[in-house]
Amino acid sequence: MLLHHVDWRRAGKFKRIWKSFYTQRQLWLLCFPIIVWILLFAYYPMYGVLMAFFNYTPGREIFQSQFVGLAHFKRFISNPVFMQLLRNTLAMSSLGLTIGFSAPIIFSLMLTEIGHVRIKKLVQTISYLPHFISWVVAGSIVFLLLSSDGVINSLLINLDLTEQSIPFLTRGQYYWAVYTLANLWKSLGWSTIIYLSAIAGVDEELYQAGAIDGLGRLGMVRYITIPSILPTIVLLWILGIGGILNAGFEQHLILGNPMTQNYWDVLDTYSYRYGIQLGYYSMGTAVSLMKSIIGFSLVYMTNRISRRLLDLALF
Amino acid sequence: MHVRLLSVLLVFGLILAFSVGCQSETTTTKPVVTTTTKPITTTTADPRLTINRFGWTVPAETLTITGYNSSGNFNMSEEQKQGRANMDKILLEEFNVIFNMITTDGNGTEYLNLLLASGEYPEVIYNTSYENVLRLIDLGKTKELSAALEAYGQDIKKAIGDLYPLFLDAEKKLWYIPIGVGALMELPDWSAHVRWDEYKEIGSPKIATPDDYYNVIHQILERFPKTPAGESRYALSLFNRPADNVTGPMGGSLAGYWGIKSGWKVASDNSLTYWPFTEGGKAMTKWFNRFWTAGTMDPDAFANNFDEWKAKFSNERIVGAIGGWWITYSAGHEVWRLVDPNFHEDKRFVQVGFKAPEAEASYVTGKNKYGGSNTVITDKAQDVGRVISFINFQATEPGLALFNWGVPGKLPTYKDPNTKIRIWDIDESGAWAFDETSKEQLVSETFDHPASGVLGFGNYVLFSHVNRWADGVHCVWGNQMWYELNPWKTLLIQNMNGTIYDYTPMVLRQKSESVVLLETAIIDTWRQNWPLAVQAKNDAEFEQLWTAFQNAIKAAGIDEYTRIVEENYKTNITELG
Repeated sequence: MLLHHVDWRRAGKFKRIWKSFYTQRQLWLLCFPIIVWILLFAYYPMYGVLMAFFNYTPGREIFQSQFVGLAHFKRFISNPVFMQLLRNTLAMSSLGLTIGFSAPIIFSLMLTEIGHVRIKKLVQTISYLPHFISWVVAGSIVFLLLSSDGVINSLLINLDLTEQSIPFLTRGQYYWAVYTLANLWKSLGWSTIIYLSAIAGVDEELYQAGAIDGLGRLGMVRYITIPSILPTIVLLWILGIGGILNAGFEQHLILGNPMTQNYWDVLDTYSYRYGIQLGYYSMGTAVSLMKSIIGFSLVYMTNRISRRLLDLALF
Repeated sequence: MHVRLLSVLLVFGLILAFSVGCQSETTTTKPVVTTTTKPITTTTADPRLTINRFGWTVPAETLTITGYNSSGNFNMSEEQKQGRANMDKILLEEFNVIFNMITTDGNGTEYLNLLLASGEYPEVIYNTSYENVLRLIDLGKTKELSAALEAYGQDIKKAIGDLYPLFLDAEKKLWYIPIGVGALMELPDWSAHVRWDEYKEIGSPKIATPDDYYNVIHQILERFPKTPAGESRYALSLFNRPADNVTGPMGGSLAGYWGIKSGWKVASDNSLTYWPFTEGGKAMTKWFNRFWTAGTMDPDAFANNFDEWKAKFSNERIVGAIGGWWITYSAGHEVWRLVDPNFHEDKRFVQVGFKAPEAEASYVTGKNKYGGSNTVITDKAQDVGRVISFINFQATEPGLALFNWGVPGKLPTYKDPNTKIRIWDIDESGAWAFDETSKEQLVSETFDHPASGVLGFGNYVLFSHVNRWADGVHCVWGNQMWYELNPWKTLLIQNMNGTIYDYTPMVLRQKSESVVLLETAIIDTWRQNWPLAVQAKNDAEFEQLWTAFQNAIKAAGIDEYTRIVEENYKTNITELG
């Protein structure tokens, strides 16, 4: 009688997995629709990135289209506007990673220092309300404030700070600042939430020990709060770096106009214009695929650097 | 136990939300069918088919056509929804036809792409751009129509007339049918505008040149520097960021006052020069710059969209206007008539024509006879002949009337069923006539356009032409007839006489991907750089910015684009004889 070799360790492992699954079957049941949704709508459509290597036309299968290899990538990189797109993308996302990243941290630290609970909650609520306003409405508010007849210009002229209105919305040189500030106004409060919850998790005894050691308020922040929330900061930083080529999309379509286009046109708006509006899906896919590969590479590298230097990593 | 119940409830909720979210956002709405009324059919005793009062041969079997209306952003008012139901009723009862219209409230081309990718496109795709037509031809999804047109579409061919060869491909095959072919050559589209009552107040000085218009606008501004509400006014403003509506997508259309045709200077040998490289284009830009340096142009002129411009215009903050003749109607007296208790008939803008002294003529309105959109019969059509027969009917006068003026006879309005509205009527012998009351209202510009939505016009137009009909009077647009009875339209036609030209041979239709990218780059470049030149602070800066503008256009590839457009123009001139 032949004995089939059986890997009992494997059988044991499967048994353990099954047991774990069975024990947590309610949680798995809860997750199951989401997993199906992600597989169907996030992973399955990924085969569409192949469009980047073909001259795809809707109505024809991808593999029935002409294979062009890296032609779309080459055409995009050799496009005269490529450097301008890259410049705008990196400039605005860098502003977002510096000002936009540090502002919620500073704001959350300041909120924590507010003693009066009601005032603290009021400030917090007011700060994250803009998050719920759509960019269409936010754009109208920006226009109301910054147009030539707007509130800011009227104020500046009435206070004799300027003779003529400042063309905030029609001069490209102002655009990055307008975009960054508008984005900050809209996202500051919401981004603060995660830091507030991290700060709330800091052990009170550490602050008491710090007080005993003679630390003032700034010292508490510097030596206790920030080191305690450092894992959260690093995690969000790693994710933020991965999105360095994401510099907004709908904001530019709303806040921008042709006069400022050479400052707001980014990779995503170019991809939309050529890929969706003009129907050149292959070009749009190539641009997006390039962005995704670069973004993933940056996340991976940042994660490794963070693990090496700070012993903190996302994965 | 609670956790288990909560889990099950949450899972159920997620599945429900998932299935709701998967519902289609677009509609294929079936027409309203009244079961009490039977469609007209032949009887076994009489083998002849019935011809209805419109001249349509009613088929024995109901003709069902499914068509995708690819104009996009589809949104019907309540009047229009009722109108569509009225149209569906008459089509079924008197024509034995059911038209299933597929629409989308999003972008029409994007939805068309989805239909193509999923294979769920219908037998007819209409209101689609020429670029989409070319793509459908390339995909092999269109039916060739020349034979069917010969057999069933003689009225279509007659309506297209001498332009027919332009719609054939290199192998003389026809793959689509144009909608809106032809042109009303006496009707101007674009002009400069001045407010009539204010113009009369300053003595109605002559406006023969661009400088005259500039001076008149500033005289009015000096006389009336503030609005009735006390707000400051601007001599001029623009919209559509910047001013596509004024200068056209390729820019420079308003340079027509300086002898430029839709952005091109045409030489005697039919060679073309793009407007930034012409004296006329520079003069036009310098003319706008005069407003800017005088401080009388709206600082947001290059940032306004139409609604923002309209708000300022309706509040009387803008003295002059440049653009389509209808913009000062819809933003001007049509608003003031409703909101101004002191409204009087002279409180409206009139259109003015002028010509730069050095120009041979003013070329402000270029008429494109290709039509605004197209109809394609796809490879899913079972019987092309029957579909062409239906489209051919739309080329006859009763067909044009039915689908562009609406259902004949008096119909109750949506807001007040006791009030009836009618644009036209047709009797059993086929004699038709335009309603006199509606005619008077259209001439006096008091016609209730929203209420007329119950007549159901405009939804199922697979073909139309915009030329005058056989009597030389009627056309598809109710408000473009009987100019001689409307003093304002008479003034419009008179003032803009000589500024209209046939732009058809200059239209570049066959565009490869590289040409489209080139064209888009040029459009982006002029949109970014022309306003900078207009906003120059002095002559030296203007010259510098103008040179920079020219260099930017060159870098965008204008030389190659000019070569392509010129070749196309010369070929079309030959084709059209």
